[in-house]
Amino acid sequence: MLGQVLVNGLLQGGFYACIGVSFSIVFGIMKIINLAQGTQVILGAYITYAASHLLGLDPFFTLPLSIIGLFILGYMIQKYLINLVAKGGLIITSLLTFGLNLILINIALLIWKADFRGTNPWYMGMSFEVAGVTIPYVRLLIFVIAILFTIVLELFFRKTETGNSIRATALNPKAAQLMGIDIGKTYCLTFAISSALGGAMGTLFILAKPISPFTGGDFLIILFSVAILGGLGSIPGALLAGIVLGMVESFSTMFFGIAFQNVVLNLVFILILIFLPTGFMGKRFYG
Amino acid sequence: MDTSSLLRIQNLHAGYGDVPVLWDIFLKVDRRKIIGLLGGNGAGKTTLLNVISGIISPMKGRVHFLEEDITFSNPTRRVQMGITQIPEGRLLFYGLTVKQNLRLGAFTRKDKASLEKGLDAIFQLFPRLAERKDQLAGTLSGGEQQMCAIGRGLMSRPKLLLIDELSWGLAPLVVDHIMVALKKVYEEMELSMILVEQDVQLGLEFSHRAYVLETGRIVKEGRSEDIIKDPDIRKSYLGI
Repeated sequence: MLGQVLVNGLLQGGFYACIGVSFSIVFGIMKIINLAQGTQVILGAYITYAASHLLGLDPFFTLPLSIIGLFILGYMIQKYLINLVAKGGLIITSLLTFGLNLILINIALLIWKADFRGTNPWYMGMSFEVAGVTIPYVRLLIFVIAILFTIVLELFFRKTETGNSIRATALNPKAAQLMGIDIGKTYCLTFAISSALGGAMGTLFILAKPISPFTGGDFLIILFSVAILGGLGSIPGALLAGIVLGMVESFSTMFFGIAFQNVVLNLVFILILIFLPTGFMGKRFYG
Repeated sequence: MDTSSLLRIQNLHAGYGDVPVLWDIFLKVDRRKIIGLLGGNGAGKTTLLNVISGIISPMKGRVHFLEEDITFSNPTRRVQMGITQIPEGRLLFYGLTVKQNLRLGAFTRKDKASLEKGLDAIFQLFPRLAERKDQLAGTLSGGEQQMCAIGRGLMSRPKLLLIDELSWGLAPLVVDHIMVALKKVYEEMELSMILVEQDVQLGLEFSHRAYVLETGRIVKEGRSEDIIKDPDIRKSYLGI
């Protein structure tokens, strides 16, 4: 029983870590709170839904479509909306992403209506058993891909020149400009990467659960919790935080029932804010 | 046309928003020359450097570099053309290592293959940086930070180096050490410099020509050795 709860928490945690990272990089690098990120995840899921139903593709293989689609959307949003008001500060950009969230939800409503929609791949519901613990294939796949994406992103930021230029821009925008780094483009790229990662997570999510245009709102508490608990902009921190939250959710479901899942998550979020405001891996040289 | 001139600024007015800070600036930098840009706090020295770097757009006037009009070119283009600024307060990327800082200095360079050679040259100039190349820049001492900032600036292979308040917050001995290195750079690499200094004595000793700024206007210009003898300058800035 305990083993099953731990494995459930771990598998869910990998997914939380990755959507948390997608939110956290925009927060940490640009000081922008993207309140539309949950809905962007859902848009990725809808791309998978549409492609698998219209083209008959296996939902898993629509991953490149949701990544590319959301990358382009994210780039456009930053270039033609957020960059124009970026100097206005946190409140202005938050209002903008709040409004954007409503628009995206309503576009999804227009196209797909308020019904729940899901995919039903042939491997759905199949699982294997290790030492009495049941592991569904889909859940394991989601976990592995989410962790893989998180690691690749971390390597991109640490090892590539483009990644370093994004970090440099976060650390000191003026100095970055003096090095010849185009700040506007860097911001577009950062937002596009965040959106693309969110879109990929949407594809993974709809593999396991059906979605409606409002499902994105449920992610917000997770996004904030992972970003704050992990330390803003810290990818290893977000990875750890995602798994912790997955565990919290899994254990609270066992002890208090599924109805209290969100209550416990919100409670944990408040406790984080009070006792660990800089998170697990908040950085000394940030801010 | 005067082909020895690298940078020409004519009739320049600039400021922040609607507030003018610089009036009617004429300034010329020849090849292989060090220019001192001197004056007290709030005289507009840093603003002028930021206009040359393209961070601030001028309200009026023209800026030419290598006979090309760059008045409205963006900062990226200017770094590519060979104008690099080493900003006041160094502005290193504190959360990145010394080596990553230096590499970012070469961000606009296309010949990435010769980057390692550039790094070696910087490490030869400042052996202290070589010892600390994998350390975060935020953990360096003030003098080492300034070395790192200079190294980062040199990595772009500039033709014109703009150095803002090199002596800021450093012990005189450290300033001397860095000045010796800078002199070496000047002799080995074929570049010009604009040296912004509040330490007027230092600025005059190190430059060929100098401009003195007061509340946004150039009040004096000429050969540094003449300006250092000027009774007004001696009285106002050198306290003699």
